[in-house]
Amino acid sequence: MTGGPVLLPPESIRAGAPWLAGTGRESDVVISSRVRLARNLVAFPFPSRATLAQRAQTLEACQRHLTGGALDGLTPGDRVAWAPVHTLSAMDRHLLVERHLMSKEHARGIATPGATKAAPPTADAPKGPASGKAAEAAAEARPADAGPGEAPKTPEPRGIAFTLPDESLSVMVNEEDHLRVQVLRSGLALSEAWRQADEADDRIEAGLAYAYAPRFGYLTACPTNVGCGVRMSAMLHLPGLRLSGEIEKVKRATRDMNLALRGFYGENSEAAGDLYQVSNQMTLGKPESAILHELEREILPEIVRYERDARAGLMQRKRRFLEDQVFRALGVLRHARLLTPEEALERLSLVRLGAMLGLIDANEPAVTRLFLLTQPAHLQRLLGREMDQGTRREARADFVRTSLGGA
Amino acid sequence: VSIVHSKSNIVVTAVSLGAGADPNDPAGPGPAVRVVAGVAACPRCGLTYAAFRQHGLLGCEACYAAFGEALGALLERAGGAPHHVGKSPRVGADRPTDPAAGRLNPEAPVARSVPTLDPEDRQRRESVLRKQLAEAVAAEQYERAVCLRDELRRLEQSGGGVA
Repeated sequence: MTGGPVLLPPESIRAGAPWLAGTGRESDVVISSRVRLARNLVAFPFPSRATLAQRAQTLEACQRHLTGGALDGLTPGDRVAWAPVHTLSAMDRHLLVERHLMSKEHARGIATPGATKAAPPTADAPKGPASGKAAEAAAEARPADAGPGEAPKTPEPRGIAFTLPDESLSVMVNEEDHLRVQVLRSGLALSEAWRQADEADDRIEAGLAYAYAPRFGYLTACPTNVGCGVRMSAMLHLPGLRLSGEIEKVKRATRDMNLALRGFYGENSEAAGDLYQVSNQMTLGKPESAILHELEREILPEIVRYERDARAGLMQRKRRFLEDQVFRALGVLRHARLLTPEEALERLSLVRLGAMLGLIDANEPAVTRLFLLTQPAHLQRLLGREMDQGTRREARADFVRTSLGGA
Repeated sequence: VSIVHSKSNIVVTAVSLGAGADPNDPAGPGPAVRVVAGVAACPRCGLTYAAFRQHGLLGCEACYAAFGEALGALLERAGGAPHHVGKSPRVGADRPTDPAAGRLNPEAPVARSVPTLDPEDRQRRESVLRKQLAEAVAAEQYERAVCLRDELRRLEQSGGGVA
């Protein structure tokens, strides 16, 4: 449809994403668990400071190793896909972002502020010095419903390796750091995710020399990642805490514990779809086992309990209000003729809550899957055509209506 | 040239202000460390400390040696400990590398053992973990304390030649 190799078969798109399958522990509240490692090669400057030639060399060395057996046998299915991100269509880049296989920054391909300016000039350096900034500004100005944007003016060499068919392991090359290893799993599964990431890390390290120093640990472009270079996080669905007005309390509590609780789509706004991400912050001087323990055994079970209590409290004391919220949402989704992805997420969140609590007879996994399938790139891939924003709103409404048995 | 950073209270003494890498500086690991009270620019990639403070990103691994003291202070203020205590590379750090490609020599043997820490590194790790353990016990966070105690044991084992 958009040219280039098809990254993911249509059946994978239709099935949603494995991390959204609701198969892990505590999946009524914990949508997914993620472990991310930041690693750099000793041989090259970090991406934001490297010349395009150095980035291309980094990419080549990493690609050779990652696709040459380093990741084999780590996941069921055992297939490693490689995509040079700078040559992908905008649609494919957005698809990978929506599936959480790579970051928005990696898709955009704009290195961090001042990077292009700071890098020493080379023969193959981009011509227009403002092009990076302009593209970034354009990307920022793009509304959330905007589909795949313009391809970046400068094709900055960067890539991604990921495992198929389970998509649980991905490695971004030349993002903020040379390597960003990610393991993403359904439900509360941080221990499993850590074990898998640790093993992948060992395998990668067997062929690529990492930047490491005893005092600072794994050396990263941003010093907040230095140390073990680990970020562990969970994506949580917290509609009960929002409806009961207690979400601020949880935000404050996590801040006091030096954890970050952010809306999943956007850092400071009200979380779209009541999806929040909680993650550790400091990585210097804390062993991975302690970070893991803190999140998986202490913090997350507590937030899960709060959310369940909030849901139970609403059922007991504010049932009519809760039903009103859920049925209104279902009504809109079953009858709307135009839907933005934000509105779709907002309503789907309440419908998922209603399905979880048995208030409505809806197929919960199918509802959860719609969180992803209503996103712009997924919607377009699913329907097999590229559409402008207005047409997407119509198509989204039609798709959701059909999926939820509306009229 | 000395610059005093009011925020970080660090005196940065200009040693090298070249925009590029020092031609005498090997591109490989173990860059020349010329820290007295800090340096103004990284000898390998030429990033200045001021530019780092402006953009928040370091330029290369040698920046950590060049700005070590300042970075250590910065991270401790942000809640970090003075020394790394987690995972470290498991393969022998002395394996010959091909610096041009950043690859380890594929012919070299791969040691899949517990990483070897030098005594000073181990000592600093122990001190960080003991402090955290004491804090956890004082705060009656016993599960966390058990986790830290296990980490200390692993560290002691790695020092006792248990591979």
